[in-house]
Amino acid sequence: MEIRDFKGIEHRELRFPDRGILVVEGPNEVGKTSMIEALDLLLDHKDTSRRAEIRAARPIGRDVGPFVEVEMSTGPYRFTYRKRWLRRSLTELDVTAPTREQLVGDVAHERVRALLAQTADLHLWRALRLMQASPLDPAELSGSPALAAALDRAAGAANAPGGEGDTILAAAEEVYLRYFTAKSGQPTGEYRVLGERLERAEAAVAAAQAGLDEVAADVDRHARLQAEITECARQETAARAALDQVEAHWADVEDVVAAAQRARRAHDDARRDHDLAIGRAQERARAVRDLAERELALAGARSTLDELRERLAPDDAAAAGRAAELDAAVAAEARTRADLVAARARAEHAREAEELREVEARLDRIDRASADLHAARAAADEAPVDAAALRRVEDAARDLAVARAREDAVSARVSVRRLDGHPVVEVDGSPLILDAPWERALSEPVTLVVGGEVEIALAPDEAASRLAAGVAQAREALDDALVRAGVDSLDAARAAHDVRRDREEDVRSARDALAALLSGDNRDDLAAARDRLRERPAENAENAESTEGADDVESTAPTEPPEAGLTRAREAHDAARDEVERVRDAHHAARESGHEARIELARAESLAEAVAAETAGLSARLAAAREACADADLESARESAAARAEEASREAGRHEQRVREADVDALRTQLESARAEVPGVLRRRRELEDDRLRVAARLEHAGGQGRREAFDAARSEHAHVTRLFEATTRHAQAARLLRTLLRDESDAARRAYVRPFTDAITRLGRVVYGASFDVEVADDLSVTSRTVDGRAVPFAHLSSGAKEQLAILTRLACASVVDAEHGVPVLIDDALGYSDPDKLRRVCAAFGRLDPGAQVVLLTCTPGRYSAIGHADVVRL
Amino acid sequence: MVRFLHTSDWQLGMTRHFLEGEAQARYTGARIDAIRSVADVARREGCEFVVVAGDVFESSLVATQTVRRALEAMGSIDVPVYLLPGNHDPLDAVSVYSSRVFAAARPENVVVLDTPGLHEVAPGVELVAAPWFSKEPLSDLLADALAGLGPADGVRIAVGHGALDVLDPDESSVRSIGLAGLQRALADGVVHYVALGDKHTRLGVGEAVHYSGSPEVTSFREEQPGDVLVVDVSAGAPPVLTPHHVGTWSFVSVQAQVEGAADIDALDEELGALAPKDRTVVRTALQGTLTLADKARLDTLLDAYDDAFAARITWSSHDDIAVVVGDELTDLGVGGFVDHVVDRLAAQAGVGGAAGPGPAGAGSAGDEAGTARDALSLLYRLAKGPAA
Repeated sequence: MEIRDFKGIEHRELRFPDRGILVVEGPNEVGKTSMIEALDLLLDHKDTSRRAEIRAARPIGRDVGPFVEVEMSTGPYRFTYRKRWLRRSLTELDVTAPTREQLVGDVAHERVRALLAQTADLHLWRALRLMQASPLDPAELSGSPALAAALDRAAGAANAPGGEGDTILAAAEEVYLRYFTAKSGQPTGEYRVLGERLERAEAAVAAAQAGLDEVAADVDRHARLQAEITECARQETAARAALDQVEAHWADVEDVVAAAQRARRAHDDARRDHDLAIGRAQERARAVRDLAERELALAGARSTLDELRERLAPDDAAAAGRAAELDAAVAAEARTRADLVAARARAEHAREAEELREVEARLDRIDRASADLHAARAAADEAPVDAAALRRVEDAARDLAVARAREDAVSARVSVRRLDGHPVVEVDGSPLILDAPWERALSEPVTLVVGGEVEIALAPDEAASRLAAGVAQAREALDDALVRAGVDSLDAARAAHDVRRDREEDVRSARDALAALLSGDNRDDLAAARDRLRERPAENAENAESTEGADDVESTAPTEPPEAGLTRAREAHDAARDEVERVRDAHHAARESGHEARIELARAESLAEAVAAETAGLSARLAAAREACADADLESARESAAARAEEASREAGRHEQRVREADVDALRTQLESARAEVPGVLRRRRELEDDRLRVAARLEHAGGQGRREAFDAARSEHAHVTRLFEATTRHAQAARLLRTLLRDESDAARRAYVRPFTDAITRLGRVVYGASFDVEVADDLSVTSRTVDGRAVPFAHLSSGAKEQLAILTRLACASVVDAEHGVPVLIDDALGYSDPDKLRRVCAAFGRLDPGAQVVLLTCTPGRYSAIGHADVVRL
Repeated sequence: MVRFLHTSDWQLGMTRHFLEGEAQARYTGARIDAIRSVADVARREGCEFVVVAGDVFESSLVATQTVRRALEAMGSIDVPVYLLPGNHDPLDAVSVYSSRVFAAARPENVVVLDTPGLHEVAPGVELVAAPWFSKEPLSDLLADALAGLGPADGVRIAVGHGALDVLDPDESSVRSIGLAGLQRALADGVVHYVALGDKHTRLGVGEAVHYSGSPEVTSFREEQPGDVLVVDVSAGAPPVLTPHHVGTWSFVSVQAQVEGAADIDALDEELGALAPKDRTVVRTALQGTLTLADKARLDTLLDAYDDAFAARITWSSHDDIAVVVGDELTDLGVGGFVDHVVDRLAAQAGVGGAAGPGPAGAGSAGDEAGTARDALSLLYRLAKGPAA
């Protein structure tokens, strides 16, 4: 490869060995990656292209066109290919093998494109490089025909997936999905619709069939009913004939029955007559017997009556005596009651007189106490210094003392003493007495005249004057209080007050005495009560007087106290009352016993009367009856009736026998059933006719419905749908079978196909990771997970180092699987930067395991990075 | 001499399950049209009356529309029309002839032979009718009708419906019409012609006993359908019969051996020649062994004829197309795992690389070999791409 004026590279020539590993070392920006770019531009773009990446390839600041020349082999071809862009653009191709060929311009470009397309796997060419800046994805290998072909060969059989097989699988899948759902494999679309339509068609046929069957059944039923109706008509005729016959027979028998009934009635009559005759005879005998009995009873009643009358006479006398006793007792009782009333009045009178005396005494005492109270009050009022007046005097006296004390305390004191033998001193016009010094507070102006020669005027200051006025005022107040109290001094006031207090004490005790006497009563009430009592004695006295006057017996002990009199009168009255009770009971008992005897007598009298009347009646009736029919006639009538009844009984027996012989019951049963048969048959016939009409109506209705045509239509639809359904089922089954088999085989092929590639990765990987290394490769040949020491890690979760290592191993594996003939170079640009020295060494060792036919180019900026690769050529830029 | 038109088995209201949609409607219409054709023939030939010997209607339970249309068409016949109730339309409780629709729509010239025995239709011309009163009579109705009749004064025509005992496969049938009795009656001059119905194909049994057949085809089995008979009857001379074809539809069975492209071409030609296609029903019974490609072509061909004909159906019991899987699939260059699938399907379908013979058309859902064959065909079609 030769490059001129390409980015930072002015000129470089590099020779790549045909096979084996080339390590290109060089510092950053020396243009390692640019070489690969140059190769891509050369292959991809015409010399006329002005694409951005081509313009970017122009060296900065120099007006020259980038130039690339490569001598390369692909398939059987070897050629030199050079291109310059932008300035003096050119394209030249010199093919040297297998046949010489020289082309320029676009023709050359197109020729190279064609050669590469024919012989090289450009997809693999892109896939097998690991560029500096690209993400560490698994290699995109599934589109590579060369790898595919290699894997095909490795898999042994011609069962490669992809290509047309996949197209067919996709098509089969599409067909399958026309009939079945993807998820559950249930019929869908037209297939499902047909299935449902078939079910509906089946149901419709069944329904239409049922409609036909119904009509067929009705037609049969109609025919059967018709036959039965005919049979009924025949039965009716037969039944009528039978009835006529039985009716005739029955008429004969009825005569016999009627005769028997007549005989029975005659027998009944005779028996009744006989019974009547017997009754009459018995009646007569009873009447005779009754009369005899009554006569006997009448005699008995009369003797009882006499006996009772005799017994009743003494009882009446005793009763009269008892009545007189009772009257006396009642009178005595009335007397004692009057006595009792009088005694009560006297007692009452005595009690009220006592009460009056008490009230009068109490009123007298009250009035006296009341007078005492009045006297005490008058005495108290005479002593005027009460507690309030005394307090006023005391207060005024104290105020005066205070005012004086204050005046003394404030005022200047003037003390004047006349010295012995010295002129007279006058104070306010009054001469001062010797040896009696004049001293006072200076509360008012004072004029001193000494010896007439000197007048000294002393004036109090203003405060002293005010105080002096206060003293004067206080004194006035005291004088006023004393005048009001009627005394002349405080002491007098106090003495007067002591008198006053004693007298008030008298008033209080007098009031208490009065209150004690009244003890809650009102005097006026007491006075009213006294007046009431005073009026009473007059009434009581009158009552007592009249009572005493009316009863001499009681007045014998007038001195007796009223209470004792009352007690005695009550006892006497009680005794009299008891006597009345006792006498009344006795009287009552006597009267009672007489009464019962009289009732008994009355009863006996009426009984006797009744018996007598009865006896008379019976006797009269018997006589009348005998008048009508003598006893002997009655008996003979009875005998003849008995004979007639006997005869009638025999006659009835004979007829009964004839009826029994005729077997009437059996014949009646026959007649009844014969009579019932005709209506029965008619009824049945009517029912049948009704039935037939109903069926006919149904048929008429159904007949016009075109059920047969509906049935045929349903059957046609069913046949049609069945055909469609079966055909579709066949197609569906075929599609399902084909799809299943294609999927099976495709999966199997893929598994067989992926195997050699997986093996290659595993072989190389074990160099790096040890014997436990394993990988899982997807159908698209991407590594999905790596297993080391039994731990499987998805590719995406691997570390950058591991990803990079796997990326390299995958490419190397690919290179080792694809043979040199179809292979493409593996380009690895500045890789393994993420790997530790140990891994690096091991990866290098893996490079050593590579097929010597493979071409590998390793670009690195780290000198010696790949030094562990034993047999690599190294170029340093 | 009297001239009349003998027809039978109009089977009005009949449907054919293989006719779908409009084809069924046209077929139904054609059966009504046949009545108008009868009217034309009767007018043209100067027939004095028309006898329909049973099965005028397909069933007692036909739609009122069918009854009205039929009677309306019968009204277009200029002469009296005598309808004999047959086994399909007997005079039972649900009979068409006693329905209100029939009574209301019946034209003057239409007479139902609803009582057995003599019916005078013209001076000196009598019909001896043997109508059916149920679907399952227990005797030879025609013999019953003829019993007790002496030689005719004028011309007498027996009208009956049912299978002649000599033609009835069921020898024990009690209702077969005794041929011997008819011949005796003919010989004795009791009747001069026996007009029969029941067979849908024209058929004469001796000089004077005839089935007219159905005026419009109803089944693939019928040999001479679509005719009506114009009959000249006179006492003392054999009747003179002239068949007139009135049918416009045909039911055709096509049986062919199909072993390759040439046979398919021939079949195409045969089917192509049938006309008119819209009134032709074809039943195909093909046998042979075809490659996947030929089978695909045959299927396409038949699909096209399915559309062209009123109906095209496969006669399953006689149809047997086997498919051979040769190199066709590998020739398509699919290769790879698809070859394995082909092998497995072939094994499932029959033996080795080729599907053995078997009723390809009858491949039911449970038939594994059939399914495998269908799958092979499908695979072939998919491999060949949408053009196949």
